[in-house]
Amino acid sequence: MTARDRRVLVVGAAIVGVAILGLRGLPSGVHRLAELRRSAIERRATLERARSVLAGRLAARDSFEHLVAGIVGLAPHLLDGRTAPDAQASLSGLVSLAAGRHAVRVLRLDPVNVADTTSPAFSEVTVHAEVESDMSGILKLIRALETADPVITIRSVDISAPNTAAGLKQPETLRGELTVAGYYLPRATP
Amino acid sequence: MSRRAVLGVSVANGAVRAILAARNRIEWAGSTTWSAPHDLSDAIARLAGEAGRAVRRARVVLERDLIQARTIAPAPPLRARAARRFVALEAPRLFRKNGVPLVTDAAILHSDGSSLALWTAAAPEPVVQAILDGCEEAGIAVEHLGPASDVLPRTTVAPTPGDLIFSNGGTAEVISVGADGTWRSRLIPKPDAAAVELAPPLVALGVEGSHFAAAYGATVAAPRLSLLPANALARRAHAARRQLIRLCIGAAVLWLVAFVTYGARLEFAAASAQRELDLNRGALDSALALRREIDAGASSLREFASLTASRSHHLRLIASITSVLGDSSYLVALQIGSGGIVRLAGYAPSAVRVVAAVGRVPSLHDARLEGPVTRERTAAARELDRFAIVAQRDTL
Repeated sequence: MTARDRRVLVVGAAIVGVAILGLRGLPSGVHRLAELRRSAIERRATLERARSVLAGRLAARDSFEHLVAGIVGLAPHLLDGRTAPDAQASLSGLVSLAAGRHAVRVLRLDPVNVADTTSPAFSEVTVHAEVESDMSGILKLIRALETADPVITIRSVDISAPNTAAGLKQPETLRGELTVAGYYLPRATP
Repeated sequence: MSRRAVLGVSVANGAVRAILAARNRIEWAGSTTWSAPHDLSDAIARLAGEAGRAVRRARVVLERDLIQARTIAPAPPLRARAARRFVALEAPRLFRKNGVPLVTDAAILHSDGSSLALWTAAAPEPVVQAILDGCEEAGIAVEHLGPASDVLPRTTVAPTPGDLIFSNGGTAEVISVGADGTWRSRLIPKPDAAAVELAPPLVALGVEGSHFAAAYGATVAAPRLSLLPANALARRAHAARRQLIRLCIGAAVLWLVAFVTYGARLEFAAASAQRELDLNRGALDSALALRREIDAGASSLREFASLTASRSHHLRLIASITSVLGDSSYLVALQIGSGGIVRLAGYAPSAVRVVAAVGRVPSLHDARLEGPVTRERTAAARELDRFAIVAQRDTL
């Protein structure tokens, strides 16, 4: 092998080496470097967020205490019970009590099963009440339910006078159907 | 910033002169004689050694008595790049060979105004080779090697276009200078006109100033024509190629180092961040859990506020409806549905008036009769319209 042959071999090998390096090694290296850079940036950002969280730990503890006080303060506005049957019983009791206070006769009081889409924190229970009284009694019942604590809302009202031909001398008798809903704090699922 | 000193060497027939100048000041000047090309190598090496300080580069000019200069005016229609090859091919016709090979070069220059001239020069190759050998022995790199006529105009006080006469012993050289520099050189036996006024550093040399003008000119400027032989040019091209390859390899290595350093720095930054995260993992987990609790609690409070705001106000609606109805009207049924549909049924002297009255209730809209209105006689023996009205309650 002459010196010229050797030189051609060396130059050829160098060209092949540079081509491999340029076409495979370099893109791969650049890609890896870009990945490394992205990872480093993400990790630095995570660290910054972690530092910020740690720096605000004391303030967060104070906020948590205030928040707990606020949550505890919600208790009187919610129905008793941590399960749907308990809350429904509580709601039925409240409706019966309000009716009794305003001379409204409760004909039926049935729990209603409805899909609960209120909120992730609170659950809703509903009862359907059939009552009988005069106009004043029914309106007082509605007022008592809409302004009372715990927070109760009337979904629907249906008031009718069953006997319109009874005459003016007869005492007024109205029949009402109310769908009443209340909220309770369900037991946290493990 | 001080420039590195350059050695200006002028080679005349039988004499070599060298000047070391910096910032237009001559630091050293020396001369010696030579008789044959091999003497010339020794003479240049000796002169370089006597310069008093190490010199690494030199510009060499060949004086008029050693070279042949020709000017073809007007210039033949050649491209500037082809002029050198044209003169090399036409050298036997343009120059006397005297039995020795010649080194030639040419350039197309502006002579007067817009006219062009082909400025050519030739030097005996053995002399040129001896100069290069001498410089190589002395460890000096020859930057340029060309005719002295190219640099002599730069040794005058104010070089202006026209003819300049440089006397040198019994002869004088008349150099024609154009816009691009020297374009013609003629040797005349005796100067008829006065010699040029030389630059102050040369004047300081006294009577020897005119002899050293070419060497000084080489320190000030480089000659336009290059009288380097083909093998020297090939060697220079080879050296330049090797230098370029070395530069490319150096650049590639630097890029690689930068690449690796950057990667290492990123790796270090990521590892450092991960280490700090690992160190604070416990505190961080508890802080994040606390924050999650706070978010959940705040969300619950917001939800409860929303639930309270959406509480029903049916009593207010009933009051609004009853207040707009006249005394002679009465309801037998009132239904407020969960979808906001409100239905009223009752008796009134005019059902249409009741519809109009219900339409005035602020929280109701789209009030209309539902079904036919019938005229009925009530228990009080009055004839009234029995109506059924449906309306839509505004969303809260």
